[in-house]
Amino acid sequence: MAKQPRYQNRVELLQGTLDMLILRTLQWGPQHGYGISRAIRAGSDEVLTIETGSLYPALHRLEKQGWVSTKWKLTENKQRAKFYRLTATGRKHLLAEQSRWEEFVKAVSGVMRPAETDS
Amino acid sequence: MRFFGWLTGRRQREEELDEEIRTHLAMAIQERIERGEKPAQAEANAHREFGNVALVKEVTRDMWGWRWLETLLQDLRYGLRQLRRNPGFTIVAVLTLALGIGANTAIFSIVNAVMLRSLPVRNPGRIVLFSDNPGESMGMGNGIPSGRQRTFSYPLYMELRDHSHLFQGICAFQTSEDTHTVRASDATGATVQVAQGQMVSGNFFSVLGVGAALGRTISSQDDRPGAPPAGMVSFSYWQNRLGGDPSIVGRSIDVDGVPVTVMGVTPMGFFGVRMEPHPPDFWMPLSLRPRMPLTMMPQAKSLLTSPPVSWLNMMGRLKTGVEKAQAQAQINGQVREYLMGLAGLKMTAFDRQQIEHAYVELAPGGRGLSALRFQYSEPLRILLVIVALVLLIACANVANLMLARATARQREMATRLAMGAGRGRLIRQVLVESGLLAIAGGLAGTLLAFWGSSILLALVAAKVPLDISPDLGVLAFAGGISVLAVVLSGLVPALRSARVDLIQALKEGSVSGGEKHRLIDPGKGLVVFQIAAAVLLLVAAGLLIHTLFDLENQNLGFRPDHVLLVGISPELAGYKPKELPSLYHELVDRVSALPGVRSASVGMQSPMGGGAASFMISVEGQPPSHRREVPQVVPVGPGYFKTEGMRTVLGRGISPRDTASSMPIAVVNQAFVRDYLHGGNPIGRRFSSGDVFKAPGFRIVGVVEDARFANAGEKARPMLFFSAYQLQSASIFAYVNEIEVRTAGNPASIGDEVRRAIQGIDSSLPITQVTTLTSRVKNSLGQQRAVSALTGLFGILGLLLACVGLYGIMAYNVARKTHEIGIRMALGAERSDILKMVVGQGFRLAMVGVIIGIAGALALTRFLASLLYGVTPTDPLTFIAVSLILIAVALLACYVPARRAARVDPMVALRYE
Repeated sequence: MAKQPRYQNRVELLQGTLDMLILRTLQWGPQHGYGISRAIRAGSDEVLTIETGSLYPALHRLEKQGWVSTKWKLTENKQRAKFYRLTATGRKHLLAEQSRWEEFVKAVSGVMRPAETDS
Repeated sequence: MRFFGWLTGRRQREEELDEEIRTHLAMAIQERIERGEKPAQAEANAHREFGNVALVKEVTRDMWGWRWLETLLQDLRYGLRQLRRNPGFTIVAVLTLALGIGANTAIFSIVNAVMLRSLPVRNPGRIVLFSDNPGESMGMGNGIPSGRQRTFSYPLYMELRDHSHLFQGICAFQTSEDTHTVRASDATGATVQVAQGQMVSGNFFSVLGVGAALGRTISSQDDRPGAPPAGMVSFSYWQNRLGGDPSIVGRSIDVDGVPVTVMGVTPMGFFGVRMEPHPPDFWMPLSLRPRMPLTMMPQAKSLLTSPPVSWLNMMGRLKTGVEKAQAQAQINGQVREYLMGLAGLKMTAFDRQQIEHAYVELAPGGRGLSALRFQYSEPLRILLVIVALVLLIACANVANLMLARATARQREMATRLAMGAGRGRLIRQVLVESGLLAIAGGLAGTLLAFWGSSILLALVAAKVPLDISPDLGVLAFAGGISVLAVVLSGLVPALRSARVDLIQALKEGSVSGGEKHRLIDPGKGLVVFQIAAAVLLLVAAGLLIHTLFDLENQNLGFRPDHVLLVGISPELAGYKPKELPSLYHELVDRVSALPGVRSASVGMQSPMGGGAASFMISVEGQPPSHRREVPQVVPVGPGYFKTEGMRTVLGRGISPRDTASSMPIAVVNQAFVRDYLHGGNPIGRRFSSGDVFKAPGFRIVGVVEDARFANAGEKARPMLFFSAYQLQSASIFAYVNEIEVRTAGNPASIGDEVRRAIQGIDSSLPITQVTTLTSRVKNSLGQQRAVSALTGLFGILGLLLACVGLYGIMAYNVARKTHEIGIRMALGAERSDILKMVVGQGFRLAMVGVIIGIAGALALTRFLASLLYGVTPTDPLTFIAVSLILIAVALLACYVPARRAARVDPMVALRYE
């Protein structure tokens, strides 16, 4: 029978990036899980879809790290939801991650560009 | 407290996670509806997009940490519920495991007590024994010591004690305990109590590091010639004989007429350093030895100064950092130098050679000197293997039960898998359940063991002061065995249950039909293994029981029936050697006159009375030789052979005319004629003590049949019988210890009359014990009896468990195949066909098991060889009998389910399911 999908494996591949994306989304203010996934999907022009099996473990992990804090609040539709908010250490972590990411992108682009001119 | 806080916090988070996910779904549905989807479709789509809720929760919870503990608690709760729901299964499984674990723990606690446990002394690892227990004791004789030395003279002890700088201290103690008469000063009555005393060096307690429970220990100050007599009593003697009175310290008790001041009481768990049936009641310094009136040993007066008399064992405490080998080399140098010095100028080349071959072997002494350890280490090792097999069979049973249940639970497992449970979780669930069973079984088994091991110990060694109370080692062993049981009994079912085929299992009605055919069905494999293991157990038991039977029915060389033995001690009563013949005459005459007495005699000991004194001799006209076995010596009175039922094969026995005034004579046994006289005519030949013949010596007047003297399993050893009436000059050969009485009726019934008759002659003559020769023979077979009884018991246990396993799997198969059987019967199969089919299946399993078991037994029984007597390890009778028994019992175990199968009503069976 088919192997059951294990979300954890994919989380590990994406871990750093997913955490960064979530933290980045929270820069605009506190948001609940559904809002975060919607924001990431919209922000990436529907390219990036965050599976719930990755999103919630990531959120709970970030909370455990102390990079986000949580609060139960009402949404504009008067629905009770758990809101995640960026903390000060979370902001610092985001900055560090972001510069690392930019370096990484630069490095990858440096490698990829000659190949592009060839073709 | 923190744990509960954590638990409640946990529950809250759980609820929050639920709500968070609910909100997420609600928002997604709402958005889809707003986009124009129908509510029902929106909900379905949102759920599909979200994925497996349970799994999302599970991986999210993973982030909280401590998850394994939480799920473990869940599994435990679930497991307990499952076990409660199937009480029949649970009881059988727990009982099976309890028997397996209990048997192992019981045997191990005896192993622990006999072989592993240390004496209650300080840092027992540093204590060494100057040569451990021997297989054979050395002859005393007057020869130069050679070979392994384990007994030492007092002067040699002093030499080693004072000049061995690698030891913190070396202490010495008498090789055997003496029986003393004790009168407490408060004299409750005129009767004399008999107590065991051991003579020890003054530093004995300080070297061992044993303190006093009361008062103080005896010290080197008490062990000087001329020091006031001091002693120490054991805790149990103080409690039982001295009334536990604390004021005993400083009081004096009368030991053989010498007033000895009690200095202190030893701690409760201290039984001395020799693990033997009668531990010492009190300890006295060695220097007191010459002042004690006992003359058991010939040169009693000169014991402290005479170099040739070896009467001490030694133990030492190594200094920290000193290796045993290093100390041993030093000691050996000192011993040889001492012996050379002793031999001096008279030393011949032969003597020198002997001395160079003398050595001491330092052995770990922290566990004391235990004959029991030597006697039982081999049987106990074998018993450990046997109970391990029982445990394996028990575990296989539980595994089988769980397998059968796993099949019944296939749908449950498949459902859990479909709901998103990981396979690892399912395996763990099954292991948790077997863990719960093993814990329950382990607890029950440990209780069983604590209760059972004292019974087992009574079988093994009745009066040895062994402490078999549970200690950490035993508990750890029980725990370890239980863990092993979890793995053994749970692994196969666990792996199996995780291999459930989802679709097949979830389909209605597929449970009985969808079973795939594997090469080896694990359940059947387990049953085959159980039967093979049971064959091994029964073969071992059969061989040992056959041995016991042979031992009990062999020709012992004497007739044990109708013989009463009454132990006496004229030595303790203060008889002088020259007064003995008239005492013996009077005793024998008085006892012989009693009604129901056929004959009576006196002797140093009877057959089965343990090892006799040995006596190095040289035969007239033969060169000295040290290679032959030193003969054993038993002084006896006239009529001894007739009373014991020993046949005189040549010449005559001891006669009343063999007295001090006549020529010293001896009667020898057949083994002596064979070993010393090379089968020539023995009558009239002469021998004397020592390694060179000295006239006039002893004249051989008769030969008796070889009798087993030390124990029933020994080979015949050369023996000499002297006349107890003849040798008053050598006191060691003048005192007898026993009156032997051959009776017409039950010997035990006239014990009291004989006792009264003896007391009528001299009321102060101590009677040490009254027993029969039959019970002596029985006791001497105690070890064989205990080992074969235990092996037989475990063999039967293994057989029963294996049969339960076979029965279980057959019954289960029949239940599962009810449908198939129904069809067969509907198609015209006779009941007898069904019966044959089911029994045939079981029989095939049993046969495979028996064949594997017999093959295994053929390969393994040679390890039993040291315990066998008169039976070869591949004894065909035993092998055939065991095979037949197993096949018969296996058929019986299959017959019941087969009958049930044959009674299947085809109509009911087809409607079934």
